[in-house]
Amino acid sequence: MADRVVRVLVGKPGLDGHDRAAKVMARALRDAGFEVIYTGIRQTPAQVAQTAVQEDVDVVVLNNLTGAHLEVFPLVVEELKKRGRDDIYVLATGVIPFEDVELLKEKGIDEVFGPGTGPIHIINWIKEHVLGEKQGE
Amino acid sequence: MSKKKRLVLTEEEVFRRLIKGDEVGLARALSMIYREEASSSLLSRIYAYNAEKKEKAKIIGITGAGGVGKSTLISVLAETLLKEDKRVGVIAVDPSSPKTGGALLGDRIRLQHLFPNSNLFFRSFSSRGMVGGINPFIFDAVSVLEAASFDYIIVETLGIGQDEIDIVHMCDLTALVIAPGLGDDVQFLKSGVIELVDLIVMNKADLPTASKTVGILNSYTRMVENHPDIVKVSASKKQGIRELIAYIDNKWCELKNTGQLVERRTTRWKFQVGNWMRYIVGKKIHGFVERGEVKPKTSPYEIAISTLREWGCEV
Amino acid sequence: MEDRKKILQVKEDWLSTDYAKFVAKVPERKHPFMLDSGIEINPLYTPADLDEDWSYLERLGFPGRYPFTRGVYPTMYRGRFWTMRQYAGFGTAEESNQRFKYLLEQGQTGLSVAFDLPTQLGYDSDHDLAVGEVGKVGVAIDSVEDMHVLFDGIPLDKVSTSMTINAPAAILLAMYIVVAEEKGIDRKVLRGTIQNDILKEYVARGTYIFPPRPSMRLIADTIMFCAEEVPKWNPISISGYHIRESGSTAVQEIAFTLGDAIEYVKTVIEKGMDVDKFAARLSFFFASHNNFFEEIAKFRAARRVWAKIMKEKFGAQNPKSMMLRFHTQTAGSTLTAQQPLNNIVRVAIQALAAVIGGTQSLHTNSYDEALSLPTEESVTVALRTQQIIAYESGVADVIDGIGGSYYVEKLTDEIEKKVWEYLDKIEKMGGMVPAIEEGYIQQEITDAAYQYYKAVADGEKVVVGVNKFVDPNEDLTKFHLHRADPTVREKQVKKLKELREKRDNQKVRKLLDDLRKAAEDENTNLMPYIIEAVRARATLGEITDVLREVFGEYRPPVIF
Repeated sequence: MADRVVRVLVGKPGLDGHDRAAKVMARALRDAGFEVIYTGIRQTPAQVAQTAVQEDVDVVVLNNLTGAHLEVFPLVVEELKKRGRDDIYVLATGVIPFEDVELLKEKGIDEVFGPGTGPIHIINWIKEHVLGEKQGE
Repeated sequence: MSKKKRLVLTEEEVFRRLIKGDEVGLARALSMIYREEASSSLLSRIYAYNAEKKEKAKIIGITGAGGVGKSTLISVLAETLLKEDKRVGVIAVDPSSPKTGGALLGDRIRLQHLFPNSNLFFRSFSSRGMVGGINPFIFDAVSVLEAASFDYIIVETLGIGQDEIDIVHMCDLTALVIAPGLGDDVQFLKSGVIELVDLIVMNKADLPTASKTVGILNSYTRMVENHPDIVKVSASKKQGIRELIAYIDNKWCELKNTGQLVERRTTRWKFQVGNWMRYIVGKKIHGFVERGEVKPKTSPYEIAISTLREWGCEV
Repeated sequence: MEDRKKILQVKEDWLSTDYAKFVAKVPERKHPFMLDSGIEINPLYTPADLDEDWSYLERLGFPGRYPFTRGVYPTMYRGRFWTMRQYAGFGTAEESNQRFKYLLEQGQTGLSVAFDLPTQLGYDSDHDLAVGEVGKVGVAIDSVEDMHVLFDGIPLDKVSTSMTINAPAAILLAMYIVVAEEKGIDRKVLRGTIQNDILKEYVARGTYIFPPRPSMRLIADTIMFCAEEVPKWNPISISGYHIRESGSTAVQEIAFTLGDAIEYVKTVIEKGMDVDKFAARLSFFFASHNNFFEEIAKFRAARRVWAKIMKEKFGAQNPKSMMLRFHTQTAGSTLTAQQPLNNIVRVAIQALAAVIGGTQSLHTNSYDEALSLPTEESVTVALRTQQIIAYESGVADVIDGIGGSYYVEKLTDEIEKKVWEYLDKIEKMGGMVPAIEEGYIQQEITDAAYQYYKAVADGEKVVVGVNKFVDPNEDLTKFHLHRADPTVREKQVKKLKELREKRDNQKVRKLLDDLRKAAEDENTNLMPYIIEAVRARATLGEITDVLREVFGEYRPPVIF
């Protein structure tokens, strides 16, 4: 049995073209030992979802910096559900205010990483939830 | 705090969905094979199923150095084939970091704009620095795609004989992609490469330096018997693509009609048997070498021969 | 002054005795001290550390004179302060219009327009990809009708309008001109700027539409058109801000911006216009970052390099063509969500560097910018920051007060050298367009961004409040995002429907067809055709679609 490899999709749904954070995230996830697929910018929710299904990823990390997260991120969750893979974790990152966190979680987002968080938090979350590794403080 | 359970499919379900072309089943089959979670019986079922299939997929290998435009070429090939209502499956292999084991798989960005499309399937694999230097998983991945009834299966890798992917043995037809200006002379000195592929695709053929490159190329191919044809395209300008597809289709039919296709697929099957043997034994060897006692006064050959005999190998 | 050799001797002595003694007892905090640009910082600088052939008249000269190192105007802020131009808000055209009227009442004479993403990408508000984005980061403009609402009651002959728009800039400019003309104002008196800098979009901001070559043609068309028809307009704001924000170093910020500028100038000259006819209207836009001295040196080096490029490479005769005039914005990416009040200090330092660096206009960020759209209170503090620097700090009372600092002069020289290295490399690649097509620029930026991230993650680079002096009990839940009105999309879709019913659709089709034919001929200036289509009420999306058909859409190389 091979070592459990974690596959992560980093996706940028919507029209936001600022990809520094997404690219830094992708590299950091790679350095943490994950296999990372990056969709590039300007993705529709359907594109992100079909990619997640085809690549059979464990986690989808969505990033948006222009405030479109409330409309667009839940659409990705919906598309995953339509395709029968709502078991895949969906994480939200970017400029997301605290008051939107509950709303996003209600719509199926598993965790939100807003301003003040960085790749290390996502890496630890993934290790805990996907690999079941307990992270020290 | 949500703790979801990853979707679990039985092998029966995976197989059933896979042959229907269902993406979830297909993707899961690929994952199971890659994670070595697939049982021998699932693999056998897939091979048996494929052997019975009347319609054969055209399995095309696309290889070449970094920067020649393989991904762009594959994206315009896929786009054109999709317009003709063909089903296309693509496997792309990227190297993984030997230190962390992680990998950044970015080949699919080039054709993301073609999604969503139920006739297009793309799967990114990392080469995973295999023990023993062989990657049998990618070979079996091709068989999985065959079972899902694609018309074309395209395998994209970096370079031939590099990173354990012996693409020529994996595919019905392999194309080497080159582009002008990228170390022209050095590349073609590896004339072994030229002898192995079925065709050379010269990308960026619209560049002014292209003719020089064709000239150099011709001087090398002339030295090789049965040298491959050269097809000129410009992937970014979408020029020459239909001609390339027509060439591939014709060549493939030719292979089929002359019985060479059957030969190649047999060679592929045999090669994969060897792959698996090397991989399985390789792991055992790796474990032994890691944990075995170091005896610097004894020759390594001595140790190797005696150990293999202990394991029951007649060598 | 003493001779170089003597100073170097004494310096050596000092380093090996006094300095070394102290280091033995108390080691330096870091070794080496490096700037992100890759320049090592020595403990101390003396006149002998400057190049042997360093000449005051050659390297510095006087403000308003080649090579403009000390400033582009002879009196600089002694005559007039830099323009305090705060980039503001978003929403519907009606809301923005109210904001404009308010600002004009407050005495501001410059307006700044932010557009939403669908507009920036040439999509009408009813397009599939516009879902969730209409009216979010800026105003939604689908047609010249929306533009009329935006500038309703505003005297376009008396204000200067800056529009942050790139790929479809030609179309928005056409709309502005048509609105003015329909209000009876001659295009010749219009003042303002369109950002119109597509090359940085490919590497930093991501709002590109067409591939590089046709985009360059479109930009050249606007520059040439304005030179003849709208002479008071700045047809381009060549930007380094976004390049810096996407992770580049200070050197890369200048090198890639000037590389872009060279490409634009080359393109217009190749189309047959004399450099002195248009170069004076080229403007620039940079960031101001944390490292105080590096930023000041960066601005000075940029002026000197640009002056040399214009004079030596392009043979400009008019000194105005050689002046690097620029707007600065303090670096948004340096602001933290943690302990947001700290950001006031960061912005103040960055603004001070920009002023000492000689900027022509300045936008200071609000302290809560990392969390949301600024409140009225935070916007005011940002403006006061500039006013305090202007009126209380005294730096504006002298021109280039820091000139002559051995460190700053050395840094200016070093940055200049490294910028030339990049420019030479880019030239060998055939220019900025090939460099971008090959992904070279993007790779440099993304590597620098990752270096920065790792340095902060490792704690090697300190960010106060984030990886040092952290407040573990901080409550980050306080911030809120300005809620964009979700009904904006509905309103725009309705307006589009009405527009399409009211206009002469046959005429629109014909004009779009004319535009298509014109676009297919590289030598035809597209501006007049775009203006006619706009006047007939063709929508932004319809016009962009025609260009998309002819030019194609850009697919970027994959660079991590």
